[in-house]
Amino acid sequence: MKLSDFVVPDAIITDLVVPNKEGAIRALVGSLKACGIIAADSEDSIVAAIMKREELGSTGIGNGVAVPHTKHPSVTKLVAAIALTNGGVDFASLDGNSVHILFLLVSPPDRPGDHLRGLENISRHLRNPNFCSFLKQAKTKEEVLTLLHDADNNQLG
Amino acid sequence: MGGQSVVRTVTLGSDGGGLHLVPCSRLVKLANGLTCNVSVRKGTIHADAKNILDLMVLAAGPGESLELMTSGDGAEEAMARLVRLFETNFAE
Repeated sequence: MKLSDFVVPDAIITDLVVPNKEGAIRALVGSLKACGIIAADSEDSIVAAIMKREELGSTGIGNGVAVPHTKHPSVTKLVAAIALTNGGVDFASLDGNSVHILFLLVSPPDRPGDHLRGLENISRHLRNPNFCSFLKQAKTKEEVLTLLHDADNNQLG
Repeated sequence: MGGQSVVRTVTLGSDGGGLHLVPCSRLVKLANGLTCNVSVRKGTIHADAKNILDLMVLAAGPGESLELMTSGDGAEEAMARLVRLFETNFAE
């Protein structure tokens, strides 16, 4: 599985400004709705499911990264949106630091393996300091897409 | 640090979601409270249990077996706590 298999190119936000965790999640889910990946009448339900998942433990995994996610029947395959925020968002992360990179994942309930592989793929790239550094510096959707392409092809060193 | 090391095989519950983010977070939290080294192996992939990205890269699914290894001071006691975490399906 590659990042390009599940990251939705039109659901990449490079200048997210939100007051809190729910605002960030709502913006990311909204980006999936805006490009037709999820139906408008599923938006609130997905946001609620992700917020409920956060109650089990923050998906802020440290080093300025969060991976909020849920399983939801409104999608037929794993999809992801990405947001970058200069100001940072308080996610009650494991290391206590604010979040600057968000990967939001929605997967079908009947395909738990896809969810695990999506997290595996993102985690593998996040272990590469170059990937995190370049992603934080990206200013446009095109720069992010180029970075994802390079990561998929192991061209980041 | 002592040279003691302990190895155990554990199996993830077949009705759970595998080693997804919640179990990984709880395993990291426990491992980081231990003074000994803790590693997890799935096949040929090794993970430092104190590093959540390492653990998530394992992508261990329901019913899969993992090898836990502790080494150093308190390795035996640490292993007992780790095995209990798996046996209780990562309940806190």
